[in-house]
Amino acid sequence: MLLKDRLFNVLLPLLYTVTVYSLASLGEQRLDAYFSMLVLEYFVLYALLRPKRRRRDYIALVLISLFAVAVAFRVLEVVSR
Amino acid sequence: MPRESEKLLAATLLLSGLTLTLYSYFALSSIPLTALGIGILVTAASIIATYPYTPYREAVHSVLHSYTANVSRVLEEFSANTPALYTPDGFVLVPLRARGEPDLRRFSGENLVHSDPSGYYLVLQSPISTPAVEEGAGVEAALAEVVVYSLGLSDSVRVVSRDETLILELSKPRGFREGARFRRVLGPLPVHVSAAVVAAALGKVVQVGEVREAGKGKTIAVLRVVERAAQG
Repeated sequence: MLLKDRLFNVLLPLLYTVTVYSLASLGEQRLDAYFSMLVLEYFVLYALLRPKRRRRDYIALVLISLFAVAVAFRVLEVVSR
Repeated sequence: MPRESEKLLAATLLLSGLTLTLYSYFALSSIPLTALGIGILVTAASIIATYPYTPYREAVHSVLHSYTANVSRVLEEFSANTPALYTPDGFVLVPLRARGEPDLRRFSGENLVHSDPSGYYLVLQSPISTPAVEEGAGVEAALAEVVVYSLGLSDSVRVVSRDETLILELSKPRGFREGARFRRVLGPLPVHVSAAVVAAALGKVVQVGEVREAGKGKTIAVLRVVERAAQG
């Protein structure tokens, strides 16, 4: 495993732990807010370290799809008010 | 074979992440814990999607094939017969007409043939550069990192140290069709690379001794630490 791949797999859970702890401390109760932050951190770290994947990065595809669904629901909620 | 510990870690994270996500969302109704579970799932997926080895292994094997062929030709040309000496700075000294051990204080590594009062030595550069191995790092850890995980020359390596002798057990070492002379002088390629790594990790000159097949795809190689080679 390359060093940057290892670094990615170490930094990602660290960032996630800090984010969840911080948002929970602020009293955040919306799952999509947490999820958006997790997705954002994944892509920022991915852009910085460019880890090598065995195949196409299916995690990114799944995360961006779920993020799009969450955003769509939120937009729908605002529009329907 | 991928690293077993990483596979186990990924499976554990996947299972615990899934359990935490479902339990905290449906049973506890805790959003932060659900988010933490999702984070664990993403981390597990990331570990699974990462190459367990260096992704450039195929290219490295191709380069090593060429290295083996080239070095075999040079050894044939010089009719080298005596087991080589591996220096900590990544050089391999093949005795041509030599008696005793080389004086490394006179060795610069700039010429193809090194001569000192003990005789003549063919100078080769091992495929392992010394920055790849941290001096003072554990021998077994250095071997695992370079030979197993980076180059994929063997499935695993075990080291037993006894006095000035190290016994290496290489599990399923990859064959590179080295010539008989290459094997006699430098050992099979995985052993050759291992000797270079051991020399760099110990910071001492080593020499490959007996190499034998031990059944079940294992190769046992005896490395001798050469104390008498005067080092600069």
